[in-house]
Amino acid sequence: MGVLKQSRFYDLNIHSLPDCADSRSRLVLEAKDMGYSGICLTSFNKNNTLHKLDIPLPALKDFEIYTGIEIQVEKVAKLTKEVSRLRGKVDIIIIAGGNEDINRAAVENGKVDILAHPTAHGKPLNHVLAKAAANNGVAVDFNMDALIMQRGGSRIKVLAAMQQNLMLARKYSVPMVITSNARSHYDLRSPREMMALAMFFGMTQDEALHALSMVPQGIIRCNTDSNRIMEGVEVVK
Amino acid sequence: MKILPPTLRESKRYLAFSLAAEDEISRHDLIYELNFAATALVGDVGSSELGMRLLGFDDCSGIMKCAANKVWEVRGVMASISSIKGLRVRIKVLGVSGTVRATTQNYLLIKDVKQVEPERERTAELDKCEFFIANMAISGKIVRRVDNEMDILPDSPHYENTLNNSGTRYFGITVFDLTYKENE
Repeated sequence: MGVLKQSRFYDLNIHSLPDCADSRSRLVLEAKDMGYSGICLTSFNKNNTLHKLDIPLPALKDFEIYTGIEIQVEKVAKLTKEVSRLRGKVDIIIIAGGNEDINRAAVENGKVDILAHPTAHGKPLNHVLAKAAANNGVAVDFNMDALIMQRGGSRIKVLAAMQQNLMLARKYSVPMVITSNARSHYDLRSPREMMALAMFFGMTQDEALHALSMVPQGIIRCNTDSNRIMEGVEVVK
Repeated sequence: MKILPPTLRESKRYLAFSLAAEDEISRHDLIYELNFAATALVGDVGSSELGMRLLGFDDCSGIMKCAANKVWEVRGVMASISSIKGLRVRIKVLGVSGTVRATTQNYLLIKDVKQVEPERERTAELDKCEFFIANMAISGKIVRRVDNEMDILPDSPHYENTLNNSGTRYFGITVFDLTYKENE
């Protein structure tokens, strides 16, 4: 358990007001209380409007807050456009997946950080998408809200799809992240609960720990490090 | 009837947990939902092996007993509960111990456990509040307040879509969001 205590956990997909019911400061306080070291608050609406808001909080010690956006699109052409429009403005770009075409376009775009809920329609990824995701460094998301909010048939489908995604991710070493995809503070779960849920579809404890701390840290470092110019090019002092 | 000697008993763990809910949850409803969630997630056979048993429970925290080698599964079952009788809830495991006394002392009796504000000067104006976020101006009634966090029931149904989107009935904000600061 020593590793668990020392790790820094991140939840990279949390939605706040004005898209969902909880204010940013509330979510930040709740997440800090749960034992996270940082969260990414993502705008989530049909028009892909970015909300950059100040968080009226007294300074928090040892807690990182990032802004992001979860892009919802129906057409592939629009996805590329939205991604290049928003890339410079936010820390983390997430694509709302589910649709097969969108999943494919997202994993083939190196500017995308995370493909969120690829199993939303109950269909798993395939080997082609997994290879592309590994090549372009797009992390595949395992969204825990599907296991929390759904029951019965739909949850069975999602669990089965997640099992296959996990198998593919292991084989092609695709980065995996676990996010809550929370729409209110009732959807937040503490890191250990997220790990426990992930273990239900076959993740080992180490993989789950990796998906909650190391991989998100890598994504954040990629996007906020000013010395980094592009993939493979860095300013070294 | 003779009880089993301690060496033959199955070893167990005690989980301290806290429960955040939109309204008060009775012990009976919680047990029902826990059993339902366990059956839905691991089935009858699986839940028989978990040995889940709710010991103490008052409206915001409690102790759960379970088999020692099934702690992660029990965590998962408790995490998979999203609502009880239509009220949104969230269960958070505070810690795990081998005895009831250690659980109580280490996790439940520490001052960090948030308490609902016992006596607050309630006047008509203090019950009401308003705040602006982005282009939304929301005014409403403070339903509950714990430390700096509060739940707001909006006066007008104008922002009902936002609430439905999240599946909650209250807006969750903190005192830092309020435009009018109380007693400051």
